[in-house]
Amino acid sequence: MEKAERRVNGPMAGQALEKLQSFFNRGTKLVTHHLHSLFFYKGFIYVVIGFLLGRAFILSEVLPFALPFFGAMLLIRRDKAFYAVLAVLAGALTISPKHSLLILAALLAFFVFSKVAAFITDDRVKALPIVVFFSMAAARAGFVYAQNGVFTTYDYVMAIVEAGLSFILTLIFLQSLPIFTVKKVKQSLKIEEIICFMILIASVLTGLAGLSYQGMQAEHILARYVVLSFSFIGGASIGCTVGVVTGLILGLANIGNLYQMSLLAFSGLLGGLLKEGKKAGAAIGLIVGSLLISLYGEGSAGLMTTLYESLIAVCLFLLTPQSITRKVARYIPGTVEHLQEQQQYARKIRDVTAQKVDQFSNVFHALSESFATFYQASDEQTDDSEVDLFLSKITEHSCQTCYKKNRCWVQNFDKTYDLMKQVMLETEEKEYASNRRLKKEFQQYCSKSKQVEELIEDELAHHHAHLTLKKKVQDSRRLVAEQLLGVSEVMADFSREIKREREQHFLQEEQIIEALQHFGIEIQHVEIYSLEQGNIDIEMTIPFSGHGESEKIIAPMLSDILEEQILVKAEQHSPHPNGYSHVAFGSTKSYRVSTGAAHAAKGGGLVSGDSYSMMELGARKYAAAISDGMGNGARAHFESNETIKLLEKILESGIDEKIAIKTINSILSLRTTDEIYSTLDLSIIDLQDASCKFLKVGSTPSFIKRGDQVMKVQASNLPIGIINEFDVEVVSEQLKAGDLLIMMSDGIFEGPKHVENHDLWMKRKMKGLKTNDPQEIADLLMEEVIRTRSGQIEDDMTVVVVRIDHNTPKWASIPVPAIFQNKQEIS
Amino acid sequence: SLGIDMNVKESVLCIRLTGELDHHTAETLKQKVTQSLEKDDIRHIVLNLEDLSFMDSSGLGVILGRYKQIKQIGGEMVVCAISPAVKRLFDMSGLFKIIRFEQSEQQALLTLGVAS
Repeated sequence: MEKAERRVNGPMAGQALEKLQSFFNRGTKLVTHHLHSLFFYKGFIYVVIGFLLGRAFILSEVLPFALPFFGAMLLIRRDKAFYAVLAVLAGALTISPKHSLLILAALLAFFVFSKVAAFITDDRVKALPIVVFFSMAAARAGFVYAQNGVFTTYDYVMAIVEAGLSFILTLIFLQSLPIFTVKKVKQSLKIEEIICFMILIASVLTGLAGLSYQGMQAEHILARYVVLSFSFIGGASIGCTVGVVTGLILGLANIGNLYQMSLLAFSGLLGGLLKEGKKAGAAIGLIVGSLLISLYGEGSAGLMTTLYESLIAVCLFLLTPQSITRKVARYIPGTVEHLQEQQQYARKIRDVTAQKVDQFSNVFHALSESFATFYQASDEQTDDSEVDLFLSKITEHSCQTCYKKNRCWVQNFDKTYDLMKQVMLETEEKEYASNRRLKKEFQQYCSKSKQVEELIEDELAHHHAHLTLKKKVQDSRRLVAEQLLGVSEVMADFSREIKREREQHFLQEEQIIEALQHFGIEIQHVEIYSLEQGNIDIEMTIPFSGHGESEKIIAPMLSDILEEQILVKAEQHSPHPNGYSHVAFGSTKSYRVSTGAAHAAKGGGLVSGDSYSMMELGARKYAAAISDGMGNGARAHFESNETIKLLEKILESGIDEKIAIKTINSILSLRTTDEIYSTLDLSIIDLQDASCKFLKVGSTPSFIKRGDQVMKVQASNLPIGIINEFDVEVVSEQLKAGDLLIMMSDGIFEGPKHVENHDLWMKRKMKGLKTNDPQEIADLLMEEVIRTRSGQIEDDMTVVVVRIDHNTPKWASIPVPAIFQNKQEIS
Repeated sequence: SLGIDMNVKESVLCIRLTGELDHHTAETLKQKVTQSLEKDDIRHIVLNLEDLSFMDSSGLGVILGRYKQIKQIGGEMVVCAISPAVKRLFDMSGLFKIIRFEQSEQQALLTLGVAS
């Protein structure tokens, strides 16, 4: 709808308007840019502040602003401090020469005292307020003495008050001046910093005292403008605070202004409360506030003046571009802009992190590739050069010293070369001994045939050893390459996951609210965090009634809307009887598993050669694994345990199960040369769609019991840890709810004595089972096997039983009228 | 309980096993075969498991180990005449993926180029 309107409007508005607008935009941008650089980089703002602070005084004779400002400038922007001094003195001169003299005296005292302080401590920041205190007190005392020739108690007190105020103001200026100077402003200002900043601004405003036009005072107008702006930006609390602080300082400057404090604070409060009504609302707040206080406090005499002052402040406020208020708002905690800024910051951090992870992934990928290519390159050595090399090695020890060398290698090169090559090849194939014709020919041709034959054989043995070694190195290199690639892939996945933007789901939120309200449930607020299938995350705020409708009605309705089982994940009730509760909904797995396992070591021992593990992989997969180490006892236990541990670690890291098994194989076969191996029986069940992958590595079959049917799952793969060339065959089966998956080690499968067909025996026993409980089944099967052996445990035995069921929630889903279905948006 | 009968025909080592191959006997078999591989000029192995009634995982380990050894020399391992119980184990462990199966010893020797 909106789009359509825009389309109609677009051509009519014309390009001319746009051009004009862009021209103005560019113009204002240029101007603001220049102003910005003039004020902040060239330091013009310090001149302005300095000038006004130089004019500022309170209690009609105390001047606590100038020196602290200079001191703070000296620390923060030393390069601009000189201009600041000039501005301060100039400002003071506009009030009276006496003022500037006093300030000059204070500055001189300050230099003296700071030199002294430099001897005592190096920490200039800590020393500064104290130096300011003493120099101010000294300057004031000296000044009064020079003027009157005597000290009264009043003079003492005033000097100390002035010095004390200077001390505090120094601390405040040290806090608030960096807000102008630091180029990269930090995330947000603390409330103390805001107040310091306000004190600075209010101090500057007192410098405006005396500027008036027809009874309207500049400092009143600007103070109202500042309060109005901050109440609009930061709401009632900030507005009120700013009003109090500004009003207090203005009141100190001129005792007649004390009522300004209540006026400004009240206006700030009203303006902040009405800020929802945009600028107009805040402006009305100010006008109403100032009118009320003026009427109440001063009577109607000054009413018109106050009203005009307020109106001018409102005009200034309305003229202030939105961009400036937004910019300021970013630094004030609690505002929408500040929140956005935070989010943007978080997003930036996340992107940077993702990028870093991506880079690491690329590094690993590149490493893997370089390993892999090196491996290929070395593989492509030509046969010819190898033969040449080989023959040259042999001739080195035979023909070089032979008297017939000239005849063989110079006159009949081709024939000699061919013959020797043939002898070499046949020896390699071990056919030379049986090839009498060739042997005879060679013996006739070569005078030292016996010696050469021996040399060839020796060299071949060397050659083979060399080749084996080379192959081993290549194998381990390939292993490294594969693993690097695996790590790279995991990292790339991770980075993709990080980058996945948190989508906005306004539309769906609306739809859910609408659907639920249609049903008669009042929803305060819906927040959708994720709508990904199987990973839904929704939070709601609903009125708390105590009847559990979030579990009984809302979750079932959501299940229907999202076509997925939704459950209440967490619920937080309000302590008040009529409050709101906060409920988190999440998707649940479509299937759940219950497991049982039984295991026994050979002869009833403690250390079993079998190891097994059952674990959840992420949110939607379940893995069960049995590893059977070869033989029995500690060594077998070590082997199988190692396999299972490696498997767990690798699978948890998110590497594909096929690669996981290959990696384990490579690791185990590289580790030892013994004929120690272990089998691995791995089943991975998808809890969303109940599909199951079987990776059987040298292991016994598994069985699926579905009702009265028993199916065998078998795959033949070589055991892990001996043979390097290794390819895993994966068998997939679709499971159904109520299925029992029974995995066992060979101790169980081949356990029953005097049984010809183990498959049939097993199937028969499983069909006869009367229970559906996984643990009972595991126990019963093991017992059966041990019974056939009349109580003896002949081998390590392990049975793992997994039962898969529909994950049925307590409450069935409630159909929602079709118009509210938002399937399309979700998918 | 394991009978090991080995004879060498040219470059082929012919191993006939009877009885049960388990972890008690696996080590003996391993030593004997390794000895023969070193002593004689062996390239291929033919395994006759006709009368082998039982084999466990250690037995499988020995056979796999020998396979690895013979593969390094560039030879081949052939199994002939296998009992049903052992065949099932071979099937399960995927051994037939790497070890060739022949109906009889004669046949196996023929395919290895050794006339018996």
